[in-house]
Amino acid sequence: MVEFASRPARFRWLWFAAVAATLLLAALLPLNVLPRNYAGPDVLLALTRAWVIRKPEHLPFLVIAAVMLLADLLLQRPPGLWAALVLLGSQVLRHRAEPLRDAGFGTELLFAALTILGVFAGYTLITALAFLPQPAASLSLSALAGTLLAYPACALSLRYAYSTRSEVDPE
Amino acid sequence: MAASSQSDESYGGPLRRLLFGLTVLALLGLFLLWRIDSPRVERLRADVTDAVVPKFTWLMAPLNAMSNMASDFESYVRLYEQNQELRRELQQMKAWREAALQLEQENARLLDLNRVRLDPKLTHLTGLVLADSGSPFRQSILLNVGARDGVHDGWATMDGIGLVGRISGVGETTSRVILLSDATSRIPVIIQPSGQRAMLVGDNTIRPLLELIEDRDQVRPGDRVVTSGDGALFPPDLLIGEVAASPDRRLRVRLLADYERLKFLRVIRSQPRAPVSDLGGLVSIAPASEPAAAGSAERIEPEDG
Repeated sequence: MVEFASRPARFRWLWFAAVAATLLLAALLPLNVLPRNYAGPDVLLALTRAWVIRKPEHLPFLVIAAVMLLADLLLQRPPGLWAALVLLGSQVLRHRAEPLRDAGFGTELLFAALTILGVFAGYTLITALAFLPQPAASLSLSALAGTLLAYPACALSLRYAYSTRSEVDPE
Repeated sequence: MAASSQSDESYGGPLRRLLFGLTVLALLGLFLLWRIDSPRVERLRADVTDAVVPKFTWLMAPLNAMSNMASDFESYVRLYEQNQELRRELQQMKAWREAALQLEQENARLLDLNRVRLDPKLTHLTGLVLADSGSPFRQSILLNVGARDGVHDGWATMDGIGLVGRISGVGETTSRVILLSDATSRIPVIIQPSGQRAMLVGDNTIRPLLELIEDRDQVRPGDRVVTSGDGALFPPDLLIGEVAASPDRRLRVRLLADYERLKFLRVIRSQPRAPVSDLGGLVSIAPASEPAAAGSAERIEPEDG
C-alpha cells in the first residue's frame, strides 16, 4: 500500500505550487494602483498553514521555501525574511499536525492563529531591528486580521477539495 | 494513513532536520545580504521578475479586459465633464506651445553664437503597464520595457500630463517604476511662482508631502510644483502637480498624473551630467604666455551647475 500511494503522492506538491502561482499572479494584476490605508488578507499564508495541518506530506519544506521566496521577490518584500518565518511556523505546525487534526477545529484555529501572529510579529520586529522603514500600523494590523479571518475559509475549501478527491483514489 | 505519514517523517530524520536548518539559514542569509549589499539582490529580484511575469501576462488578459470594461463604463458617465476640462486645457497648451516655439528659436540663435554643447533634448520611449506591486505596502508598477530597450536606473517616468515615478530595478525586458506615493520616494522639487525648493516625500497616500520648504509662507495652495533637477537626479522642469493643504496643516501635492488610469507611460531619457574637468575651449586664453592664469582658471569648481 505504501508503494501504491507513494508514486502519485510524489508530485502532489504541484497542486500547492499551482494554487500559489495563481494567487501571486492575481495579486500582481494592475487592478488598483492607488494607495490604500487598509490591507487585504495574505491568502497565501493562510492557505499554507491550513494545508500543512491537513496534508503535511504534500508540502515538503523545500516547496514552501521556494514558493515563499518567489512571493517575496515578486511582491517587493525584503527577500528571505518572510520566507524563513513562514517556514519555521510551518515546521512547528507540521510536528503537531496529527494531534491538531484530531483535536477539533477550535484548537487547530488557535495554533494556526498563533503561528500567523508569530510570522507578522517576527517580521515587524526584525525589520525594526534592521532599521527598515516601517509601514503604517493600520496596514499591518488589517493584514493580520484579514489573514486570521481568511484561515477558516481556506481550511473549509481544503476539506471540500480533499473530500471530493478521496472518493476517486483511496489513500 | 497514520503509519505512512509517520514513516515519511522518520525516514532520513536527522538529514531532513539538517537540510531544514540549512534552508532557514540560507533564507536569513539572503535577507542579511539584501540588507548589506542591496543592489546585487535587487538585480536578482529584477531578473526573477523579468523571467516570471511576462510569461504569464496571457493569463492576466481576461481579468484585465473585465477591469478595463468596468473602468470604461465609469468613464462614460463622466464623459461630458471630461470633454469640457480637456477643451480648457487644450487652450492653455496652445498658448504654451507658442511661447515654447519662440524660446526655441531664440535658444538656437544663442547656441550658434557660443558653440556650447548643452544636454540633448529630452527624448522618451513608451512602455505599457504590466503589473502593480502586488502588496498595499509598496506603490510601484512594472513596465514592459527593459534593458534591451535601453532603459537605465533612475530615469523619470511620466504619463501624458505629469510625473509618475522613477525607474528602480531594470531587467532584460521589464523594469519597475517606484511611484511618487511610495513611502521611499524622495524627489527634489521647485514650487513655481515663488521659486522655493522643497522635497517631495511619499507616505503611502495619494497626496505626497512637501517637506524641507525654505519659507513656508510664500507657498500657497494651487502653486505649481515641478522637478528642480537638483543633484542631476531627474531632468528639471518636469510637471508634478499642485500644492494642496491637508486638514492636518501640512502641505501636500495633488498629482497631475492620473494614477487610476495608468496604462501607457513615457520613460524620459536623460543623460547624467558629465563632470566638467577642463575649460573645454569655453573661454579662449592666449596660449603658453600665461601659464599662471590657466592654472588659476582650472581651479574653478566644476560641480556648481
